[in-house]
Amino acid sequence: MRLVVSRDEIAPIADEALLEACAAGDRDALGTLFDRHSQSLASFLGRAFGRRDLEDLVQQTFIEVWRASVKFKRRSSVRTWILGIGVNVARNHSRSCNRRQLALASYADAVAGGAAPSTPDRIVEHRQKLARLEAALAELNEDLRVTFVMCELEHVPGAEAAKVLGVRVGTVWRRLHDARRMLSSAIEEE
Amino acid sequence: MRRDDEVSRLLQELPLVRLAHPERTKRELLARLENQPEKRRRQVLPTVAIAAGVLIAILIPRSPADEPRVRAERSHAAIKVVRSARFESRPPRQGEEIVHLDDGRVRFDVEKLEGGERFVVLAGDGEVEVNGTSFDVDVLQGTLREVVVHEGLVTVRRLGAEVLLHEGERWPIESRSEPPEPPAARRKKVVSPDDFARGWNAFQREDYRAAAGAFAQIPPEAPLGEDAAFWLAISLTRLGDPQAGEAIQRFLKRFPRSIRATEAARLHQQK
Repeated sequence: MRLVVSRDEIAPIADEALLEACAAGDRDALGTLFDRHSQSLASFLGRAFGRRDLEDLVQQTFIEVWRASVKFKRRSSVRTWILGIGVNVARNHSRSCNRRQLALASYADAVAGGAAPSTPDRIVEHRQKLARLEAALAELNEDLRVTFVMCELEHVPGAEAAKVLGVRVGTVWRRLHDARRMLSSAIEEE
Repeated sequence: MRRDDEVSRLLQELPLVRLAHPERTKRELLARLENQPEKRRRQVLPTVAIAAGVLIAILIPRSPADEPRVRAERSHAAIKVVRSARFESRPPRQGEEIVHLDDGRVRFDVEKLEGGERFVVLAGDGEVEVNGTSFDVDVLQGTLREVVVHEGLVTVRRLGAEVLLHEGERWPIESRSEPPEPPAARRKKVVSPDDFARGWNAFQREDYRAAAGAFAQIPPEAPLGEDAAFWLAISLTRLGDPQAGEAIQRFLKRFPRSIRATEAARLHQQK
């Protein structure tokens, strides 16, 4: 049975129903979930694990979503659940390259962008701070970085993050605190 | 500008990471799915059937306290309305039985569950999970107000915090006459799920006195007790309180294997 028939009809269907359709073998339902959540997942994975192989990681995550759709227990939102699968996929990614280096490389790419403060001095200072922040984010250990990006940048509630990461809520808070403290130190003038 | 504020502001400026070619990525994903083994198809109810299921679910709009118990088909729970209640219960599905309680007070008597089975009451803005127990849940207009455990163990989750209640305990802490208090020897302090959050919020705004006060209320055996003990020591240290050293020692003695033990020991040496 197909739950998803046309683009007009899919709008009101809840993510949970789409997952059920996936469990029944409806590939269109997975396509709709991809439309809804792939950019959020890409943003999360790109910041937490680096941009290399990002498209492959996103695809692999949705394949795992397809396989695991029957196991969804509604203990978090579907989006958070997908991010949690993304964490496992990225961690198990069998590429030989060093993840930390990848992350650093990706953030180095981003440094060139920067923001637009008012004076040349401030522009330089601002870019330096942004660069230090990005470098510090990439330098965080993986647990801190994943938790921080998930909660602070993707705005996943701490309780949901704890469930999908398999840690206690207190651990999430502690990681957020530690990450924020390290990032705060990093943007200080050297 | 506080450094935390500056971090928050700079974070907003981090460049977005986007899929360069989402449509192509999607096409490739769906093509890769074609090579996946066919899923064992599971019967999925269409929307209409789900709606019908909701209609046939147990709905008890109002019932006096002495109304006979109603047992849902194949349910693990006997449900008794204590105060006019609005709730919905569906038969268990894949070992998980969920009751939505929107308003009112309901008594649940839950059979011992098998491994992998769950019984959860989504109680307004909170969540109550049990394993073979008898308990009351009180919700007022979508807000979880009270949980009373008559028998067994109950986990209460609300606002990101989790509390394990034992027989005779209630959530949140309130002095009431019913049901009878447990014997003193078995009585344990009930921790409000807000206690840790209150301490944490105070700590974040650098009000270490308030933070220490809140963390000190959480006993070490409570959920988050380890965290509370650690952050109590840190709060007192930040305050320069003479009791900080003692708090660190208490933490190290109680939680020698904590991942924070090294940090705490280092802190202790500096004292």
